[in-house]
Amino acid sequence: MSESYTKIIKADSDWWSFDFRSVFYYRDLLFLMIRREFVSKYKQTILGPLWFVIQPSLMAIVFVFLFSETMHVPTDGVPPVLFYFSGIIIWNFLSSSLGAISLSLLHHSELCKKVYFPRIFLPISQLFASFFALLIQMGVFIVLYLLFWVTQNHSGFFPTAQLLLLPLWFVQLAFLSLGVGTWIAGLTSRYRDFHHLTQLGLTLWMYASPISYSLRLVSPKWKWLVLSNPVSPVILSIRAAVFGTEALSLEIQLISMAISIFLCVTGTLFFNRIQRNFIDTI
Amino acid sequence: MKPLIEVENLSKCYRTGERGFRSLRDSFQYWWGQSLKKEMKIEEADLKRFFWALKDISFRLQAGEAIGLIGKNGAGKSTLLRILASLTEPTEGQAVIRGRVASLLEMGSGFHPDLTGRENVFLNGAFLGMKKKEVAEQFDAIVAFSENEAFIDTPVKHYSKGMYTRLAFSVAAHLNADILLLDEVLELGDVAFQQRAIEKMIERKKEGKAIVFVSHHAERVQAMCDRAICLDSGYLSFDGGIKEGMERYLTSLTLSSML
Repeated sequence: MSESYTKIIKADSDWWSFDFRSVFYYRDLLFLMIRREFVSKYKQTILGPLWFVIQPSLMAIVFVFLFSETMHVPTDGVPPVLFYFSGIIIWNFLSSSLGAISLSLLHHSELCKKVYFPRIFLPISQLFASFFALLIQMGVFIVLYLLFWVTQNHSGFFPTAQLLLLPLWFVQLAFLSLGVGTWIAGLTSRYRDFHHLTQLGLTLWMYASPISYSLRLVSPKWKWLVLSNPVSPVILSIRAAVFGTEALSLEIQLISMAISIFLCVTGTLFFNRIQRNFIDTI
Repeated sequence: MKPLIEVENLSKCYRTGERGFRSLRDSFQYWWGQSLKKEMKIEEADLKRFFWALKDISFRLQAGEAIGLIGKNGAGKSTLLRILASLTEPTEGQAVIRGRVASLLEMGSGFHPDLTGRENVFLNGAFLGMKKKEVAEQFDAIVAFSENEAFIDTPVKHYSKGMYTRLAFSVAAHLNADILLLDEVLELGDVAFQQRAIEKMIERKKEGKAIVFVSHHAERVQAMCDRAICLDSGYLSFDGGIKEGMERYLTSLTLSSML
């Protein structure tokens, strides 16, 4: 009966060993953890999941007043509300999941001292909880999009066939968030400094990403800087697919994809190494 | 039949003192200090930095057997449980585990205060290694044992301490694991419930589960366990009958209090 669960516990310095068997065994737990993360975000609120919509909407309105109405920043012929809303929800997915993942070991250290479960579920459940919030926000975006489409007689912007690649870009964002998040989670479990750095880093990273501006406004001298940020090609590509604005070269997209995969693989391995003994030093 | 737990020369070493870094600055200061002191004798300092919480522990545990882990605070009982529960790795040696392990080092691991009793039963069951289907099958029995039927759809943050403990223990009592690791968790709740909890655990033992039980409560350890393993400053000092083990432990306590 129990032979199938046989397990040898010993000191193990192999970076590559990953316990896929226990991930499969505990799969029911993963679904419950995702649900727990998602639901606990809005439990005991009156507006419930509406909060996922209110925050990006308010941000978009502020951006419209600040950048479009006051500073007259052009948005590539796209209605400003749609332009900013799209950028904000993409960024929110990355920053909220990354922030939560980076603290996942620290915040759950008490739990990890008491029960065994595949620790990788901590970041993964945060990722999915943020993704469900993004899905709700996307629903609102589609409604807004159709509203503008109808009232403006579909002029100026149009979806393209590239829209089919949308899932791929979301996967890339997930890789990026998981990669950077697990690196920071591992480092934060040893050095609290990285927690302070994360907050600062995310703010700076947001300004380095074309959320509130289009790439055309960036001077040619600095374009490389914006494009070397692996988030930028994702935002620009999604906007190009949704609004028919200028698309990026395949080369840049592939490079950013490669960076995201690299970060994801190394981050997960590092996390996997740290989680084995982190309760001794937390 | 092969033993469910086979521990061989298990040791766990912690680094103490200087290596207890909290921030990056401490770490840099340490490396800087190390590089300056290179010519100095560091063997002595090295020795001080290591603390062996467990040293050369070996034992076997068969199905249907319950051992009481006995020892003073800091003897290594919790460290041993943590290693057996896969929460941390040993430094040397190994442990072969044949079966599903449930670590009950606290009551209600993974409980979320905002979720209802029902939701938490499933969550806690999953954290303890149960499949969703298994929890669903046992659900009615779990709720009945906890005597919380009326509040099962209330968020657990509104529960009294007793209700919380009873619900958490009920999940634990209905686990399908082959090996149960208990760390002073039966000390909670009122006396009547503690009695039921002990009886439930003895029942599980008779079904063929292996139990490792840590408690300072001599009566309870003797009621549940047949065998004692005494730990003394990380070493295994005794492995044998529960009565003799308990006596040895109590004598060592009186001796140390007299000194």
